[in-house]
Amino acid sequence: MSDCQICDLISSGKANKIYEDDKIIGILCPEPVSAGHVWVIPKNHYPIFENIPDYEVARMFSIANKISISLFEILKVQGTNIFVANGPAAGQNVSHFIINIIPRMPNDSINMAWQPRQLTEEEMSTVELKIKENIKTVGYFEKEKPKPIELDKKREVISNEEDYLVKSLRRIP
Amino acid sequence: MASQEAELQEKIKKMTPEELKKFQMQNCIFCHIISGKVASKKVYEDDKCMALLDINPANPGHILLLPKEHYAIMPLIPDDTIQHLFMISKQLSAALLRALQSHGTNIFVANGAAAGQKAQHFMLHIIPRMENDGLNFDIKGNKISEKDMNALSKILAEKISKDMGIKVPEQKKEEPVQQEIKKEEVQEVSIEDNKELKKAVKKPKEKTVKKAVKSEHVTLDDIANLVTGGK
Repeated sequence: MSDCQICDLISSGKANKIYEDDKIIGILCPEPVSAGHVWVIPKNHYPIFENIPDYEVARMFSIANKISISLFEILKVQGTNIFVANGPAAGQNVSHFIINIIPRMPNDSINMAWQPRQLTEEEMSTVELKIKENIKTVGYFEKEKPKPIELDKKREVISNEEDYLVKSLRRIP
Repeated sequence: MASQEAELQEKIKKMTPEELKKFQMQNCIFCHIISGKVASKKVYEDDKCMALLDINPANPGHILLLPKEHYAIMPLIPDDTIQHLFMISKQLSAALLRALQSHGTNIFVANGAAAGQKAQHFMLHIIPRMENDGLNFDIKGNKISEKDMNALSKILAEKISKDMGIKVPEQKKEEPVQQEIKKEEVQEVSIEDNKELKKAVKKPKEKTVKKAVKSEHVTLDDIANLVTGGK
């Protein structure tokens, strides 16, 4: 047992698994918003989005997209929401990163819209400046490191007795 | 007015996929923003995507991330672009946390009109969040019976592994292979019939996506049309 309930859920095997590979798992959400609500979860314990390496982010969302396509086909839904709550202030209530895929139908009484705000020109410019200051590293991606080559501990022991080359060397006077 | 609209509909029906795409782009405000015809508060740009501030934000610092190419919905986007978009979204989210000292971010995608997509151009929302900022994405659900869950997960697992080309070990070996071959044959025929349709969608690189997009092409197109209003 670990402190993280999502890690426990994955390792317990009780989850309704719909996809699995070595790093990522897709399960049905235990408390779905709509039928077919899927969670795509990294197997490693990453609390928030920023902890996850770029290459794993890419793979997770590419799989999320494929699952979303399959949901379109099999449940005949007319839309999907991809939703990530990143940080407790954003509504994240477990300390494990999760991608929500929520199938949608017209007039399904799920409300995910927000009230649009109107900011003044000045407010917009300050925000723009602040963001631009912090955006210089965007676009440089971390690549997956190649795995270290495992050197065999047991090396072949060359037995001198059977090696005819060694024998022939000794024959030379 | 009604006759004009009908005329327009007729015109759209006669268009080739290339013309249709061009027509959609001409009517898409975000394509105009990307090409620079309409002013915007751009914060990031590269060869595949562009990020700008939403003019009617949910919170100050609300970013829209758009692919430069015009795609109506997510299933039409090639895999490498999806990967690129979401990697950028992660970095933008990190930048927002640093820049605005926000306590969290929401990544939100509305894919299809039923999911709340309003524009005809696919986009990703990155919304910075503070404690008690008044926003509420209520995604709490209800428990459903275990039996329903198990049935659903079985259907989904089968379908998804088939789409991704994974062999499910529980199934008998011979039967599913034969079925798959049959299905591929049927698909090939239908694709050959619709050469124009084939051109319409850019070929995604990975095979699995290719299959999924093509086999249900008609319904996905319908969904795309719901967003674009048939334009």
